[in-house]
Amino acid sequence: MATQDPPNERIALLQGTLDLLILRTLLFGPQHGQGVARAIQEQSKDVLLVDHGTLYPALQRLENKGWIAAEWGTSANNRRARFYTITKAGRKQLTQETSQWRRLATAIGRVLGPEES
Amino acid sequence: MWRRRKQQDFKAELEAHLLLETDQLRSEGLTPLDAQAAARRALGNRTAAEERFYESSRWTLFQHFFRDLRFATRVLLKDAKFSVLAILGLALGIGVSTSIFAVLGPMLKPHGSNVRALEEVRNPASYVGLDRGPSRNFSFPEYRYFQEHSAALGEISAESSPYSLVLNPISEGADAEDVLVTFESANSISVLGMHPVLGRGFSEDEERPGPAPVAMLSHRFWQRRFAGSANVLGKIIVLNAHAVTIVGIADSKFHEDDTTAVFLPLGLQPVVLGPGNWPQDSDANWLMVSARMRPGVSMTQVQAEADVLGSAFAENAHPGAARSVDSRVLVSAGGIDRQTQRIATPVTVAVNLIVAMILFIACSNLANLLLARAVVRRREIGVRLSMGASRARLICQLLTESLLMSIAGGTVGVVFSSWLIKAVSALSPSLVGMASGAELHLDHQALLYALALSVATGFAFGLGPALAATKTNLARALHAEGLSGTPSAPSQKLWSPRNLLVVAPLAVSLMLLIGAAVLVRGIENSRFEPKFDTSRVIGMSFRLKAQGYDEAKSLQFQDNLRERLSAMPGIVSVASGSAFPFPVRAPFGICSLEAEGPGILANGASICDAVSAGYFETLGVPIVRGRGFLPSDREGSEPVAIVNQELARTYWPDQDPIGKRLRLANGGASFVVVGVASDLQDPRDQTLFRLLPTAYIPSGQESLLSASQDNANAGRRASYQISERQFFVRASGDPASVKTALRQAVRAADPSLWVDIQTIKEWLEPITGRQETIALFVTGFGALALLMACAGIYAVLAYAVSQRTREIGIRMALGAQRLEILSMVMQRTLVLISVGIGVGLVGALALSRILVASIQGSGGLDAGTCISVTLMLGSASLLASYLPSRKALRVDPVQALRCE
Repeated sequence: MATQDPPNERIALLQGTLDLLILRTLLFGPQHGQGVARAIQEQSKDVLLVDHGTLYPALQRLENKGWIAAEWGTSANNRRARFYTITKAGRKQLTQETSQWRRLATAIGRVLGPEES
Repeated sequence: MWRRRKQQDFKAELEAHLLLETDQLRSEGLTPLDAQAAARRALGNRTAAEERFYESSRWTLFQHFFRDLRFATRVLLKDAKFSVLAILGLALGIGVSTSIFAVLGPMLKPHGSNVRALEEVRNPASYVGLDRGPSRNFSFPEYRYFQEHSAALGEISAESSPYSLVLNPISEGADAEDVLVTFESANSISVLGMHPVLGRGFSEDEERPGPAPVAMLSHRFWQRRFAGSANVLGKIIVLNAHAVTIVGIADSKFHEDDTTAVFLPLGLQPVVLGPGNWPQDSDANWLMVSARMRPGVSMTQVQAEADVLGSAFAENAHPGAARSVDSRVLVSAGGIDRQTQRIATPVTVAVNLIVAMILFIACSNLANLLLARAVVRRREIGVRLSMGASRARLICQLLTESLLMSIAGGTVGVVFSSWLIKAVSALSPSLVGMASGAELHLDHQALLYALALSVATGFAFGLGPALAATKTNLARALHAEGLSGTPSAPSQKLWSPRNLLVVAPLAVSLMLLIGAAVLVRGIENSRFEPKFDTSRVIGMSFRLKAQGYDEAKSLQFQDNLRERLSAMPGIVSVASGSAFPFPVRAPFGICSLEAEGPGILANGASICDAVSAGYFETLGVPIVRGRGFLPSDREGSEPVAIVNQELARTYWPDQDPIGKRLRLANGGASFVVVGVASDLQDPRDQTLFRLLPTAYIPSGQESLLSASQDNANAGRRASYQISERQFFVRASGDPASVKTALRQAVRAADPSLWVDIQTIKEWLEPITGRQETIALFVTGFGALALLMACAGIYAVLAYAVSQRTREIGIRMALGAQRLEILSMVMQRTLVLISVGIGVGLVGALALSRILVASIQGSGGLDAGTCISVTLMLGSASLLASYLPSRKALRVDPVQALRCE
């Protein structure tokens, strides 16, 4: 996949975490795909790399699962875009996965020990 | 979510993303061009994303399938010659096996036994049949005993086997007909979970002796004779001279497989079908019993109870009598009689074997064609593999093609087989007659069979070539070699799969051909040729006794008839006999004769036939020694007999039979032999009918015969009925018009009489015609196998030659002679053909064993047949391989080298 940055500066997303991030982003309100990508990138202070090409199949997958809903609309700068909204099932999934992720992160943090340097 | 999102929509979204991203990047200060490029880069592999979206769909599989289907159709249409060839080949195989299935299916189903196809029975799990081995049925008291004492069985029902009774004309101007009748217990229908469709069934009371005369019609008979009219209830029909009232119509499934027309209550047997009062007789075993198990009872329990009840009853009926093992009552599930199943098996095996072999040849031809084409398409497949198609997808694609082809073949095959079946029915009504009265047609079962067959064929013989085709070396496939389709390394192995595909069908068709030849020869040998002209002699038979004629009335009727017939124009002579000339139907006149005199012990089954004056002249059977009957040979004069040559041969070999004496084995009068009549058939030809020693007695002295018979049978069921006579009429003109005149004469005497008027040739036809039909069938199959095997050889070789065009061209350019080229091309084929023939001969040995075991009258394998069939197949396959080889000779070197 094409990236503009050297791989060591940005972290490629773990399998499954993209879903979590998308849901989390959509919690703040409807957003189109490009917006979601940008939001993840900005909120992670450009650390997380979202491959735009993989984002859309992921969105589709979430839509198929019924966690998000989609509708064509018009963006702020008057472009046609497909807007995604989180559904009730999506919210439930998000809470579940968030707590799971937190537990996992803490556990891994404990195993790895205090940060060096 | 519930509506499919279109690929187009997804694409549009990606497009929108690019625009949004470009906008944003521009607002961040990039130039429009840079922004666009950056946005593209960030999106990454767009096609991959689209593909992932596409594959995520549940419908992908279907879409793939439809795409494959479309593509396969296109491919098949593109190479129409190939497709037509393959489809026709398959259609032949599938069509033939489907018609065999449709024709033989009902024929193989045993009928007249207590077999109930499982689908006829509601809740078959609890339905059981009680039987006691072949032909040992139950008596009425035993049936009742089971009914009263069984705890494990709920409903127990009984029915008799079918009896042929005479039904008087049901309307003015109709003919009397013989109908099959079974006697049924009250619950015969309900035990199967069925009900009368109209009216009522029988009551318990009607099982007991002396019931009201009621009858139930079978659904088929009701439809055929009464056009399904509801008015039929309450109508009176006359069966064996007894009036019975129709009270109901049975379920259409009841006795669906046979031609039983009327059902009567058990209690009516003594009235309608004398002599004997079977419901009172514990030695008359005439009932077949089936039952419903009570809920929660297992088969083992039922069997255990049946053992106890069976022996308890036998002990009651015949105290202290030794009981054989085969009297044990066996309980079988679904009421299916194991015995009849066993009988049907060898024939079924043979037929299935033949069908499988024909199919195998058809399939291997298809596989050959597919393999050949797979090589041609090596380049196409190479390209597709290198473009990233997965092997699985390609195999799917190729399988779709072969499936499409085989289903097309199956469809054409079904059309072909329905046509074939019609042809068979038209050609040989006797064969259809064998199918227990049911009409031949392609039912849903046969169609399903054809469908399953085609799908299985497509898979089985598409998979191999598909696997082979996708296992290509990419680099080589795309190379110039792949372009011309030359096999990369001509395999030198003899046992390569491709060579097997030549050898195996060849071997199989040789087996089929030899089997067919053996069968046909056997049938030819047993072709039945009576020694007199059977087409000129018209036989008439009545069932006077069944129709209520007593002895005096019968004799009077017969005398009147003889007088009337003698006076009719077109009739040369009239005679009568007490037995049929050939054992096509009862009465056979079987008796036991012994020769009188010192040292002669020969005796055994013979025929005693009381014949009128002029019998031999009417039939056209010459008296070869001694004299015929004279008017003086009558009641009271010395008992005389004319014997046939067979009797003279077996009883008095190398002696003059004239003047010797014969008597019935059970005593009684002795007859002096006054003449020898010619045998009715050639003694060397006894496959269809056994030639039995026969003694002809003047009809005036018949009472001597019947008196001693009565002694032997103690009057229980006298087989010798003096009052029943067969009439024989020799016609001078057209037998058809004489037959009509005879029918009118009988109708004038008594319109309610049942009479059968046919030439003796017509009597014999159902039996002789069957053999001829089988011979025809088998010959057809043999020809088909030969044709298909040759087509396969031709296809493979033609393909091989076309592949080697370049090589042949080079060789010819370098100076190879035509003969050398020919031998180069044919050499390998010759080896394959001889291997195939060798294997086939071994297989034929095995097959002939099976055929001999299963089909009566087929001779063993003999050298003559083997050699001639081998020569035939060998030359046919040589021809098939020579034709493409000739093409190789005509290769123009310049053209061949330039063919790319």
